[in-house]
Amino acid sequence: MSYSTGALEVGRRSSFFFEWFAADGLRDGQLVARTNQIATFGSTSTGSITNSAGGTATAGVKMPRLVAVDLDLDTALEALGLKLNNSLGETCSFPFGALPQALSLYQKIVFNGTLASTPTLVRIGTDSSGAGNNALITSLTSGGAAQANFKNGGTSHTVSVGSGLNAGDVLEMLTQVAVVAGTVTLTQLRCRNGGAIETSSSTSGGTLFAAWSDATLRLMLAATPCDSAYVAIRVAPGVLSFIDFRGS
Amino acid sequence: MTFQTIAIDDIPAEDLNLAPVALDQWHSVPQQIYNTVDIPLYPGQRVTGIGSHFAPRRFPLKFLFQPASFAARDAALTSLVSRFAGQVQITTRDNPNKVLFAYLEQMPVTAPYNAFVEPFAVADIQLVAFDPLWYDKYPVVGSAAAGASIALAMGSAAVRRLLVHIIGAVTNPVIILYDQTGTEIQRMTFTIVLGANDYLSVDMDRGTIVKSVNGVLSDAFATWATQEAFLQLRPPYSYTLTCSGAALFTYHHRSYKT
Repeated sequence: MSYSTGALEVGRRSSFFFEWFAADGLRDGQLVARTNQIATFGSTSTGSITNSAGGTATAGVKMPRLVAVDLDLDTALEALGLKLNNSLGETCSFPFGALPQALSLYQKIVFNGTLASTPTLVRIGTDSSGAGNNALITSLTSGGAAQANFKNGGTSHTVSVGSGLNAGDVLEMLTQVAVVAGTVTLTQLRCRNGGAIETSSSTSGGTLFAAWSDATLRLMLAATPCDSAYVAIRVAPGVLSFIDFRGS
Repeated sequence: MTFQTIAIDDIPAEDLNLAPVALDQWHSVPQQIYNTVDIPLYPGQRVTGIGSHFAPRRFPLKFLFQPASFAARDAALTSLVSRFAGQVQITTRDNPNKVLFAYLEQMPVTAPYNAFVEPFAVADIQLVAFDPLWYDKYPVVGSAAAGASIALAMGSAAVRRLLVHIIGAVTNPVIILYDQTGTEIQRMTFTIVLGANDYLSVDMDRGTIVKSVNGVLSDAFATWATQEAFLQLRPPYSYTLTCSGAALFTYHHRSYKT
């Protein structure tokens, strides 16, 4: 069958471990990364959807809340984000098959939550102080800093940068995990509303472990609601800069 | 991030240390072809054209390099070419939320001065967009309560990737597409019982119908009435979509000839 219209769906193999964009929407009712990982999504209550005209409606239970968001700070809701809120029981995770190594984790969110807690934004692995706990966890501090935590055998190595965050802010975070001679160095970068890039000082993340404690990438694991909208999440091998991730 | 002129895969030319000095055809309406059939052959029909109604858009773009050294010139050209590894997404300052999908066809590079005295260079980039239409970078989101209508915003060419969610609880939902005069254009009828925790996801572009029953997804194509078609939205009409028994959620990408 030939189609008279429509952009060519030409595949381009990604060089990233993981690439997900909210703007890609749903494929057969599911959130699917461009790198083909299929999300496991769940919720226990209905949540609110914001449409492009600014109106709201109620989403179905277990229906990913793709909502209109403003990325260019002109108040028009021109983009798409995935809202997640713990109070609605919303969970979202993807399989993550890449082994621990030098990598960069980029995320772009429209912040709409509270800084009274420390919402975990993206987590690879599990989170505990157990000896076998190997994970990379990104979160926001109560002051609005972007924070990365490299859990190495249950021991936390934490680095953070920046402060201040308001509802509606477009937040880009980049976590760089460098590995030299088996030793990890962790650096966190933050860019708020397209402004200056803030870079933390680097900190040691200990010795690189052989495997994540769970080969899963999870979103929004907060004890309290955050309700921010995820726009993009990308994980690439090696230590890359913001410019390598901002493109689509 | 400094977006002043044009971006390649969302990377502003300025961030690549490039100065665009010429641009052509990006607003031109490409040649249009009358297409007799755009569906498989039926008895008595004859193919006079296949594929797109439009000719490809060829998109010349000229960049001036003003590097400080020959090594910097080499690095800048290498960096530029590496941006074209396959399909790229072009945006311009005219509307950063409209994108064109293109490929690098050729890139002659010339020196405006003596090539090894001044490191300046000019790259004449020839891009080709086999689909010449511009698309929304992000989809338009719509929502409506049961019985209410969603006005589906249109561009200047056919809508792409229209997805409709029919949100339960509802029994045997019918979604109806009206034009700007209130005349019914199309409808889709489903024989299905959706509970309060269920919804139906209808993808008009991919041609799939999936139901979510308390979070468990499964194919529901067989619940759709025969003799009906997936919804198609084409200008110059404007449309509204409604379902008397269920709330709706939609998103779609508009397309534009210019």
